[in-house]
Amino acid sequence: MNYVSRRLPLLDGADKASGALRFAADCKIPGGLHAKLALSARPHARVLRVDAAAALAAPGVVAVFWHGDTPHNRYNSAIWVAGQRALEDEEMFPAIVRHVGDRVAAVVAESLDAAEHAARLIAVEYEDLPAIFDPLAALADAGPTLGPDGAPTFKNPIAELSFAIGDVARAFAEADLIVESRVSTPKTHHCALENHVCAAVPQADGRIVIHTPCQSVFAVQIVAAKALGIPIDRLRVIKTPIGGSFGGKAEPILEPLAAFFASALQRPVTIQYGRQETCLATRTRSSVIGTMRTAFRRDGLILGRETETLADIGAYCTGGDHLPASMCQRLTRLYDVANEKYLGRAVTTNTPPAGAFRGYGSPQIHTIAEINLDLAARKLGLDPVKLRLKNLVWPGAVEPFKGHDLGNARIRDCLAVGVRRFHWRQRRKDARRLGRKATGVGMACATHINGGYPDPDEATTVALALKPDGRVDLVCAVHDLGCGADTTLLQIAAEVLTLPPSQFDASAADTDTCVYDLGTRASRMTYIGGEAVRRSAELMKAQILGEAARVMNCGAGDLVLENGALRRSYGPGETLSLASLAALLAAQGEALPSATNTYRAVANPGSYAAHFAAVEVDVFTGRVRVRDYLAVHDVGRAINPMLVEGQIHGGVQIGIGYALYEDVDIDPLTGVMHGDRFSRYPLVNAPEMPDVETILIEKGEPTGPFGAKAIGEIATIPVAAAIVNAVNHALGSSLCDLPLTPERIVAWLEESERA
Amino acid sequence: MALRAAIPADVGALKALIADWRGPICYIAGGTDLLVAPRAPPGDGLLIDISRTAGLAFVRADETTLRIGAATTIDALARDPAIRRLFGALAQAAELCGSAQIRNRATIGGNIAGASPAGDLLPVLQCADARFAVLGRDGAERRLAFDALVIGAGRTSLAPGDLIAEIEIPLAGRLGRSAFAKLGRRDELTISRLNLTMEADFDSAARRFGEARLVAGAVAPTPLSLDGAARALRGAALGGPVVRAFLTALLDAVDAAIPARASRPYKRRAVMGLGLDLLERITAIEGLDAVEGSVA
Repeated sequence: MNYVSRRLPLLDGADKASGALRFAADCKIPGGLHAKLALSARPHARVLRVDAAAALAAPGVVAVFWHGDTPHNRYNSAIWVAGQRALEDEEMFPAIVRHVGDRVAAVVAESLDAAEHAARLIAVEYEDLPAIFDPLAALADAGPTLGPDGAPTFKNPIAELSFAIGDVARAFAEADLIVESRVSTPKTHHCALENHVCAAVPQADGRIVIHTPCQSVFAVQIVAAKALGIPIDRLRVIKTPIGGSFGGKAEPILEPLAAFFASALQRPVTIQYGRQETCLATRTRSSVIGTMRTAFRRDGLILGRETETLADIGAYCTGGDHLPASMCQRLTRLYDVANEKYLGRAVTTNTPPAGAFRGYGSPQIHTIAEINLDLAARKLGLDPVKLRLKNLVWPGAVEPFKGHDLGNARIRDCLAVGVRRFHWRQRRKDARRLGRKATGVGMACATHINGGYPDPDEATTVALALKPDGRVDLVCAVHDLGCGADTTLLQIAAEVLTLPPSQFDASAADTDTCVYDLGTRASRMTYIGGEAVRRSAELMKAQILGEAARVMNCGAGDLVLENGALRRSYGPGETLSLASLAALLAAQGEALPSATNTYRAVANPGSYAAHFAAVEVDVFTGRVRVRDYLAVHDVGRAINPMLVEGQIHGGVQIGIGYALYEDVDIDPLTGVMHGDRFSRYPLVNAPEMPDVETILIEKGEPTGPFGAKAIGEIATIPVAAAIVNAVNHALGSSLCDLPLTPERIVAWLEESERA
Repeated sequence: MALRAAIPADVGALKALIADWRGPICYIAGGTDLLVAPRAPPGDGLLIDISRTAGLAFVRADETTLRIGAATTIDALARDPAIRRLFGALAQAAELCGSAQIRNRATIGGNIAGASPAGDLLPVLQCADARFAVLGRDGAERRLAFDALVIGAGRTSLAPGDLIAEIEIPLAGRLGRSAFAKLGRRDELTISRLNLTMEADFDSAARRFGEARLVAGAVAPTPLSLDGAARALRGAALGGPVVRAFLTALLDAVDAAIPARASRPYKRRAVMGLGLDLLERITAIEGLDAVEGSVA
C-alpha cells in the first residue's frame, strides 16, 4: 500500500492551523445583510403580538420578520430526500412557540451589530400555555402538545416501536439471576467550535444560493425548498468548510430563514448564531431513560432480556421518531440474545429539540446495556470481561432485528487484545480505597452501523476525470466535517490510481454539480463513500490502461500502473506518465479517461470497540479523575491510522463529558436551560483528559474499501459506560444516572455511609 | 454623547487626564469582564485603558510590604518569584484563575473591582489583610482595608471614577506557609464553586502548628474567615484527631454559611477535601487522609 494505511496529514490541516481557511462566518459578502433572531423567553406560549416599531426605527435595520409575515409551510428539518414522509411540525416562525429559545422573530440589518441592537428592541406579547419538561410526565399526558394554532396534533408517545424474538417469559422463568437497572442519560450539546451559520445570496435568475457548513447539501435544499414552498431547483446549496458538526449541523435550521430573507429582500443575508443561540435554538442529544431486565444463567449466559426506553426528543419531532428503532437496531448487534423483548418510545416535551448527535441513539442504548451487564457481573461474581465473552457475537453473525449480516465482527479480538494490554485482571484486583481516594477500572463494549443499507437511497456517485495537465478531478458530494473525509477518500483514489492525493482536485459538495447524496451521516463516509471512490477509480484505471495500451502499442493486460506512470509488465522499457498520457490524448483531441459510477451499498456490517478506563474518585469532593484509558477498535482497516486515532481521542473526550460533566440542565419548573454557555456547561478540557491509548484491529471487512469500516461515531459510544462502570467498581456503587456529577457521587457516599 | 478612549502613558498623564475631564470615567485594563457580554462597556464618557500605563503593573517587596500594581496581570502574579516566596497562596490562586488567555489579560485590580463571590484572588487578599490604594476622581489617593473595599457580592465601596491603583500586603503578619485550593466543575479553566486559603506556621520537626488562618471563597457574598477551623490547628500537634477536628470544623463552617442553599449537602463535604489538600501542602506531608483516625 502506498497511500492507504498511511499517516498523511489532513489536506486542509495547514490552512486550518494557520487561519488561512475561510469559514462561512469569515466571508464578507458585498452588499450583504445580517439577520439576528429574537428567541422565545417562554417554554410554551402563543405569540400574540410582535411589536417591531422600535426595532424598525433603529439605525441600519432593513426588515423585521415574524410569524405574521413569513410562510407557514410546515416542514421537518430531518428529512434527507424529496417526498420523504415525516411529521411536519416546524415553521420558520411558529404561532405557538414550544420551547425557551424557539424562533419568534428576526431583524435583518446592514450589519450584525445593528441587527443585534435592534433585536433587543423587539417586544413580544405572549399568552402562556401549559408546558411539560419531563418525559415521564409527557408520556402520562398523551394529549395534544399543540393544536390551537391549527398545526397537526401529535400525541405522545410520538413514536413507539416494539420488537420481540424467542420466548422471553420462559427465559426469565428459567433464569438463575435477574438483574434490573434503570439508567438515565442527559441531553447534551454538540459544542462544535463553529457555531451555526449560513449565507443566502439571490442570483440574477431568481435562484438563491445557500452557502452553509452542513452535512448534506441535498437535505438543506429539500428542507429549505419545503419551508419556502418553492421547487427545489430554485435553490442551490454549496457546502463551506466546517468547524465541527458532530451531528449538530445535520439538520438545516438557519438555511430556510436565510433563503427566505434573501429572496424577500433580494439581497444577500447571513445568519450567524452565537454560542448561547447554538445551545438554545439548534439541537441536542436526546435524553433517554432505559429500564433493562436481563435473565442470566449462573455461568453468565444471557437467557433473555427485556428493555424499555423512553427518549425525550424535545419540542419538535425532527428525526426523533427514528430513535426507538435506531436504539433497538444498535442493541441487537452486540450480544447473541436468543430471547429479546424491546419497547422504545419517544415523547415530545417543551424543551429544545433533539437531533442527530454522534452515534444517534447508540451512546444511549449501549450505556444502558453495558451498565446493566456490569451490575450483573458483580451479582454473578463474574469478571465483566468473562461475562461479555460468554455472550458476544461472532464474525458472520446475523442480527435479529433487521436480519443484517454483521460482517467480519471482531469484537472478541478487541476484548482479548484490550484485556492483555490494559492488564485488566491485575488492575481489577488492585482497585481499592485508600484514605480519600478510591480507584477502580471499568470497561464496556459497543457496536455501531456502517451506513444506511438497506435504505434505497444508500448510494454514492463518484465521477473521476483525468485532466490535460495530468491532475484528476474528483466530483462527489463529499461532506468533510473536519474528520478528514477529503483526505481519506483521496487516499483511496490515490491508492488505485497511484497518484499522490495532492494530484487530485476534489470540490466541495454542491447541489448543482454533484449527484444526489445522503451526505455525511450514519457512519457512511469511509465505508460507503470510500468504496464508491475505489470502484470509480478502478473503472477509470481500466480506461487508462485501455488508452495507454493503444498509445504504447501493447495489450492493456500487459500494462502496469505504478507511481503515476504506465510500463509494460515484461522487461524494461519506456514508461508513460499519466500526465504525458493526458497531454498526448488532449493534443490529439481525444477524450481523456473518466469514470462515473454509482455504488449502492450491499451490506451493513458492524464496527466494534472495547474500551477500558481507570478512574480515581475523591470521596470528599466527589470528583472523578480518569487516570488512563485504552480504546481498542475493530475498524477493518485504517485508511489513515492517524486520523482514526484522532477520531478516537475526540470520541473519548465527548464520552467522558457524557459520563461525568455534561448536561444541558433544563430547569424543571421554568424550562429555562441553565447550561446555555460554556461557563455553565463544563466540557472536558485538555487538563481533564487522560492519556488515551488506541489499538486498531485490522482484520478487513470484505465489503469495505480496502477492508475499512467506520470509526467516527463508534469512537464515543462505549466511553460513558466504561467510565461509569469504573466508578461503580471503585465505590462499590450502582450509580446509573448520568452525568456522575460530584453532587451525585457525594449524595451516594453520604447515603451509603449512613446505612 | 459618545465614548472617548484614552491610553495614558504613565500615572502622571493619567492624573492630568482625569483632572481635565468633567464627565463620567470608566477604567479598563485586561477587558476580560468589560468586553464580555452582558457587561458591555459604557456608551459615553471617558474610557481609560490602563493596561499600557507605566507604573501600574509591578510587584515590589521591601522589608515591610509586598506592593502590587493594579494593572499587573494574573499571569505575572502567578510567575512572580517574590510573591511565590513571600505569599505563595496568591501565586497559586493566580495560577488557577481562568484560562491561560484570561490570565494573560486579566489584572489583579480588575479581579478585586469585580468583587465576584467566586473571585479567586479575594479570599487570598482578605487572608493577608491586604490594603488598597485608591485613586479618586479628584486625583486624591486614599487607603482602604479589605473589608472597607469589598462590601458585598459584586459590590465595592468604590465611587464612580475611582481606580484601585495598588495592593499592599503587609509582610509583618505573614505566617510561615500559605496555600490556596479551589473546587470548580473541572480541574482547570473553571469558576470556583468553593475555594480555601490557608496560612499557617508549621514546625516540621515537631510536626506542630503555630498560628493559623483560613478563609473560604464562594460560600458567602464576600470571603469568609473560618476561625473554628483555624482554632483546631492553632498550637496543635499534627495527628489523626487534629486532622479530624479540623475537617469537622470546616464542615460546620460551610453548614452554617449556606444553610438554605441547594449546594450545601455537597459543599459541606467537599470542603473537607480542599482542607486536606491545604494541610498536605502546608505541612508538605502527603497522605494525611490515610493517617489513622483522620478520615471518618
